[in-house]
Amino acid sequence: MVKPVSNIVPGIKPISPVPGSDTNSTANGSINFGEVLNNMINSTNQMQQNSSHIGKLFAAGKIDDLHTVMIEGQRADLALQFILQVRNKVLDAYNEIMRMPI
Amino acid sequence: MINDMFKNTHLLQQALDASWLRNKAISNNIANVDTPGYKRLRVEFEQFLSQAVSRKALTSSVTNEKHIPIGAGSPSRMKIRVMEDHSTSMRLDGNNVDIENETAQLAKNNIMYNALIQKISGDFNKLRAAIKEGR
Amino acid sequence: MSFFSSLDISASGLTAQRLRMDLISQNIANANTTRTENGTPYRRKVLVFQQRDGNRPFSDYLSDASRAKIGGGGVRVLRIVEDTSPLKKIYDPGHPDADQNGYVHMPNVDITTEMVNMISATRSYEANVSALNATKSMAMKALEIGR
Repeated sequence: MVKPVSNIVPGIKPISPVPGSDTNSTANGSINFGEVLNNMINSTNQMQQNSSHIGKLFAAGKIDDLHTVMIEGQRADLALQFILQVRNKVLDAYNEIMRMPI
Repeated sequence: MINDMFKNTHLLQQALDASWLRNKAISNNIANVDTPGYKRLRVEFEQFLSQAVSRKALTSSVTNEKHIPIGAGSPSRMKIRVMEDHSTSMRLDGNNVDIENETAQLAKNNIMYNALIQKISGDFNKLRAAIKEGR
Repeated sequence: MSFFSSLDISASGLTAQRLRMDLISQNIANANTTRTENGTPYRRKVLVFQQRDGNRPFSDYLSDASRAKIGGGGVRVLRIVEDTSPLKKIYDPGHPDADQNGYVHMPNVDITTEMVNMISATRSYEANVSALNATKSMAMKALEIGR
């Protein structure tokens, strides 16, 4: 059972939430981080698949222009790099929080 | 979000497609320089692109789902058209390929393609630098 | 259309102009031939070019690469025909192929025309070569993406 601080120590006011930055705001329109991450992973995956599909078509002699192949490859590569970087940052942040003395 | 990251490169990629196709059309014109009745092919893309770009300048916000956004913001559906040029008749045999003109167009298109490749390559490198934090 | 069809297009142009050149040489070489295998004087030979349509299987239209459509796949030589213009007649009673009036039918080859055509064929050949080189340099440039 958690009591508000003000009940225990009189004089300390409960921290009033800043309007708009409510943690429940996900319900009314904004997107939560997990969803963003999920979307990113999905589209990265799609790009990888697209790239390998185009690679296969190229090997089969169905694609006429080289730049399509190269560009799709670059996109897939960059998306992967991006998502890896995000993953590293998130892990760093998590570890930072874990190490925080409470 | 990741798709937004590549918005610019999509446009450049289309310009590259058009340029490649134009190279093919010019090659075809040159190969058929002595074919009776042949009409030169030309590729139309740039005016569609400039239309799309200028339309994008006046974007609108949509207040209702059923509204159609002005400018649409998606040059992803731009057309590249190949058409036969019937406007001129160079020679008696009905062929209208002007070999000097085609050679000039070929050189022009080649430079354009190289420039576009350089640009798209630079865009990718910029993204890569941003992702790797300049390392 | 297959891999690098623009190179194929230029190659077809080169082949056609090459063949044209061969025929011009043949015409010049036989400018004085009064007797061919079937006994008649040599007649000038000319090429008929035809635009080669990308005769693609229907499945290609459905594949991913179908956007690479273009109304042509280069040039091809439809057939080689003989020039039916009248033969030149030269009075030379001592010639073994002379008719009873002493006239010899000479081939309808005009050297000057052939030389002009030869220059034209050379020019077209060169233009095809430069188209081929342009395509090649573009493809090589495309390989540099991301480098």
